[in-house]
Amino acid sequence: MHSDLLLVLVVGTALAFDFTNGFHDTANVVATSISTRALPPRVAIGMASLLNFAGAFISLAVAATVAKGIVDPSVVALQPAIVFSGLIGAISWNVVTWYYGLPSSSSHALIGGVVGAAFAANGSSGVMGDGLVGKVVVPAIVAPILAFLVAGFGILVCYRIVGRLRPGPVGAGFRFGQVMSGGMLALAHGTNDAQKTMGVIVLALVSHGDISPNHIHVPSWVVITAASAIALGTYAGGWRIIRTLGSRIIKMDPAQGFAAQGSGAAVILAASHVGYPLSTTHTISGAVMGAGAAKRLSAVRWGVAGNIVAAWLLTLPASAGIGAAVYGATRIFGVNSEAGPVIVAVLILIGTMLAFGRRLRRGSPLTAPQA
Amino acid sequence: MLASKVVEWSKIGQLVYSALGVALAVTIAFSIAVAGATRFAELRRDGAMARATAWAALAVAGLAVVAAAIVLGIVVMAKKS
Repeated sequence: MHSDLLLVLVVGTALAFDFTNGFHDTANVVATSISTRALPPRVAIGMASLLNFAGAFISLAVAATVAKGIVDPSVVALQPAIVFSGLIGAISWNVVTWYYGLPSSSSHALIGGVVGAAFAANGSSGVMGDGLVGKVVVPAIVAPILAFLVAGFGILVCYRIVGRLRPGPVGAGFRFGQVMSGGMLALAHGTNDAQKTMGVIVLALVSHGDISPNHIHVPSWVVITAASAIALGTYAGGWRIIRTLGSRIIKMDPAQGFAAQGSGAAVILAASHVGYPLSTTHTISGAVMGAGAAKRLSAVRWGVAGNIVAAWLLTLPASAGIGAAVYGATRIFGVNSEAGPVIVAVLILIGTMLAFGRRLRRGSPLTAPQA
Repeated sequence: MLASKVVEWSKIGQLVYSALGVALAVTIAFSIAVAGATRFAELRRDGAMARATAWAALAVAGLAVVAAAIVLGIVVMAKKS
């Protein structure tokens, strides 16, 4: 049993991560709808926010995977600083990639951070290597490739069916379709991503002694707060990544936008069904590239795509490294001391505010414009 | 041998075929709905009401398949909880 202050700090940090997850990943849901003008930016983001909230209540399979499939809950139970350090690793990586406008995976940042901190605390015994490879690494490779292929086939079929028709009404039809496919994508995102924070809060509650490691479940208040945090983050909307995903990889037409969103939603929903904590970022980015490459390989800006893939490859090791370093820093103040996490939380808050301030001074919009 | 122990191939397989099947079915159905609606508008303007009605029926059928897929997706997820 650990102190209440430490629990509050860990839960607060988890909800802060959830907010950055929504803020960072808004682009996954709305970028294609905005770039094809299917919806005005603020309407798209408002709709995504509501559906993210609703999606968080649909299923809890992914939360269970995060809570007991990646790191050993009984190891985490002894040291809440592991969960805290993992969250700081994830938040830091999210802020860095947002700063450079790169759509990296919040899910992998979270898992990497927790794994890095658990490894620093207990060596390889704290990490469930089989779970990490089988439930994170392999789906991380499969998901973007699958989304790429599905969206590629999808757009070829679309063009085959509507290719000879007048572009005006066809474009209008697919813009309407994007409202539906974007809605499904937002629902799938809420279902998949809000649960990761729920899983982490459950780990903290296990650590505090509120939940038995042998009987993992997700309390209702955890579901409601996690859903609210991700919805608020989504509503705040990270415009830099929306711009990258919506117009810097390919210039999309409405049919491509529909195929990318529909394929992304199908892959994420299927992954959520089998309980994989899949990266929505990898999936939708893969789908956007697939929808572009199937039309014409040169339509994809492969330099931008390469930067995104490099960020994906770096996410797990970088966030794990930060998580491990933060754990080491908190440990200086003693195992389960409150001073270490408090100091680190203040420092990360200052760092995040400096990053936002620097972007504002350079004239970059932080949130989506009205139109 | 190690890969078969660590990787849940049945789940990966389930992920691949369900995502591929649903996404392609929805894309084809919605493309047919768009084509049907577009042809319906053109033919109605030209006064060919019988053919326009047939295309309208096709559009409605396409939309119905998309709506069914959306409902199915939500139901499948809800059952998992």
